Amino acid sequence: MANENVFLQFNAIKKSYDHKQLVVKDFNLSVAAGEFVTLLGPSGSGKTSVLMLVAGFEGVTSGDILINGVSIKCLAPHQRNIGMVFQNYALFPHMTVSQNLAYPLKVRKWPKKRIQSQINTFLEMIELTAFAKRYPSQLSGGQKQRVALARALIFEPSLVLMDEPLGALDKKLREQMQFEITRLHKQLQFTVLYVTHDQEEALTMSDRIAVFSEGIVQQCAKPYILYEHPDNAFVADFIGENNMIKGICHHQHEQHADIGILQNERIHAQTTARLKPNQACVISIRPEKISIKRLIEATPESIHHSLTATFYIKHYVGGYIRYYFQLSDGSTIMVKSLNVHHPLQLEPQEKVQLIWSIDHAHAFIIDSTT
Amino acid sequence: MKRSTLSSDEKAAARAELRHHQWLAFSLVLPLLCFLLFSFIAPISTLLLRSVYHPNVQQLIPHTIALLNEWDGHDLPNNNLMIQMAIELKKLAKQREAGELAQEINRNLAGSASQIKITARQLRQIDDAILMHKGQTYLQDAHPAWRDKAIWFAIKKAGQVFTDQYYLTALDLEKNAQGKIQSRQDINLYIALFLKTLKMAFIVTGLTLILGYPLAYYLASAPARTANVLFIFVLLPFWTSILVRTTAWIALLQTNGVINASLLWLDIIKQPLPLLYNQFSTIIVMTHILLPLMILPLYAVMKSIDPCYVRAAGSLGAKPVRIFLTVYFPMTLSGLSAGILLVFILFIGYFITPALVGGTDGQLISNIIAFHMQKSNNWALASALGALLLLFIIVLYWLFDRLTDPNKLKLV
Repeated sequence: MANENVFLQFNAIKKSYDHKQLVVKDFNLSVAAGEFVTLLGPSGSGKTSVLMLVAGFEGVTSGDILINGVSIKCLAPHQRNIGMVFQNYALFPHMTVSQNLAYPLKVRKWPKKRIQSQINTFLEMIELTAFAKRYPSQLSGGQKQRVALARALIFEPSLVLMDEPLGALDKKLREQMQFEITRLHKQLQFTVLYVTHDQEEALTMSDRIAVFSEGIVQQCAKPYILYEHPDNAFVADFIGENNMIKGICHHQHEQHADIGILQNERIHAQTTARLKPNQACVISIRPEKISIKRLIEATPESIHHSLTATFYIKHYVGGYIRYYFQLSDGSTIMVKSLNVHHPLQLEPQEKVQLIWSIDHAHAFIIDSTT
Repeated sequence: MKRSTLSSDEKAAARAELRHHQWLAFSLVLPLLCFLLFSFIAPISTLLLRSVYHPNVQQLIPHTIALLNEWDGHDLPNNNLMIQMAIELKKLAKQREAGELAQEINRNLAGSASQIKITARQLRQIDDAILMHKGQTYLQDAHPAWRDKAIWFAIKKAGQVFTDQYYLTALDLEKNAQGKIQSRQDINLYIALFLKTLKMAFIVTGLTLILGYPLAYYLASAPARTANVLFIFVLLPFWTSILVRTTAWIALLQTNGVINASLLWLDIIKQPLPLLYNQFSTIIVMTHILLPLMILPLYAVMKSIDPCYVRAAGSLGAKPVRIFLTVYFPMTLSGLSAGILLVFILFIGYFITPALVGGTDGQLISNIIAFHMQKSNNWALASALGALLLLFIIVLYWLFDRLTDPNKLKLV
């Protein structure tokens, strides 16, 4: 990213709450103006802490946060002009919807007329004009979330933080709100720092995703890169479903590794890591990239990107079917195949050939998972 | 839309189930209901009744009262009435109940007790037949005050079974001879006492608020370990007997007590300060005793306030003072009103502590009620005062309820 485009920048941020353990370890990230960046990770990975540091609710232990090149480390929350959407909405229960929306504007001493017209604009935008006089307790979850969103945007902050804003909603509402947020983001062009543990949400909404684990960013990239070219085993395992097969590296040539698995089989895989001969590693293959061939149709020439496995169970999911196979060492491989005209009917214990394109196997060093 | 209504069978079944639930609920609260009936409703009703219903005098001299009710009050009562009075007084004298009558009448006319007692003693020896004839002479010979209309007015007034006079007394009012309500000439006691109680209740409530609010806030935001330790300090006085606490304060505050002795020793004062047996000591000790009752509801409410509200207000641009005034404080209102009501109401009715440390200056309305029940034996007046206190608290509660409007405070 070109440097003049950087809007929000984290420089080697560290955060500790108890003076002993670092919750955020050396966090670096540059966000361009208008970008939608998601911090994704399991709970306790430090992603919410980063958000708290940006909002100013917690102090930075070391490092610096810059907005437009100016440090905001020493500013109080109310001086930062950053909008925030909370997981439990945090709508003031003793104020009506329009009073909630008016709050940041009154604080900024906007003239009354302008406040009213701004409220009307935003109420229209979130389609809650009829609910202006209601109290938060009289709204449904989705409505509250929309009001919370409007309240964080109404004072036109250039940066909006969202802390698992859809965590409390059911699946259908969540999808609706994802659409709503992306729509508003496109319309109003603000920058978003979004925290979630829901990867599907992250993949659909974000321009870029930073995958967190144990206070460290494992990879920060566009959604499709995260999915197709994960940097390490953690990302490969965390984003989407993956088959992880343990193996030992024989040799590596540039980005191609020759890896031995099971007793005697060899597999070729892509890798960005530097594998030494005889180093333990894992190979990840996405379940939907694998196709199933009956042994009679097997193609023996694809020896370095296929495996023989025994079928044992299948799960019908609707849009697709999951087939589970066992390798000779007892480990499981799952294959997802679309539920098209004639789904494959396999006999119990039937042996099949599992085959994939050579680009879809990725090898990682084992240690980076922990 | 089809079949969204219930058939009659289904309706009956639903009704039966509802009834079953209602019965269950009722049987669960029944023991409490019985308890309340005996320990609360019955005593309160008796109290309210006693404040207006006073049949003592009417039962002692029923015939005289009946005749007095027809008396117009222009002249002295006629002979017939006087004879009746003489006969009934003699009967009372024989049954040794004349003293009771004397006490009752004396409340309406100071000094009449001795008159009645002297007369009763003299009439005791005289035969009924003679009294039937010349009762009025014996009566007037025994004490000249029987020729005064004042005693008859007093008896007539005391003889009313249903009366508002105790309420009037409790409000420092009285009825003059024409039946008009006017303020009492001689003493102005109860209103002043009500006002003093009110003033001190405000002071104590204010003090507990000033001391309790910041402490409750700290307790609610402190880490669990610190909060637990501090909570013990808050609750410790709560668990100690009130008598022990009050006595401890006496030891501290008395003329030769800890505080005065230390101040004298430090040469800060030359003479001991009058710290005990005045309003000051009542306020100090009552504040100490009632403080936990302010802290507990405040703490409960503050604990339930998610810190995200304060954070949200901050992120929206509000400065700390504004956050407190517009977001945090309004959200604590329910706890605040509960605390204020608890402290205020408890203070108004508090008896033991003012009685022990208050001296004469620090006495409250409850102490005068106790006095009328235990010492002056004037249960009717005590009941009237109690009923007024009850009414006052109900009005206060209603007012407070209106002011704080708990409907708006529903948390998400």
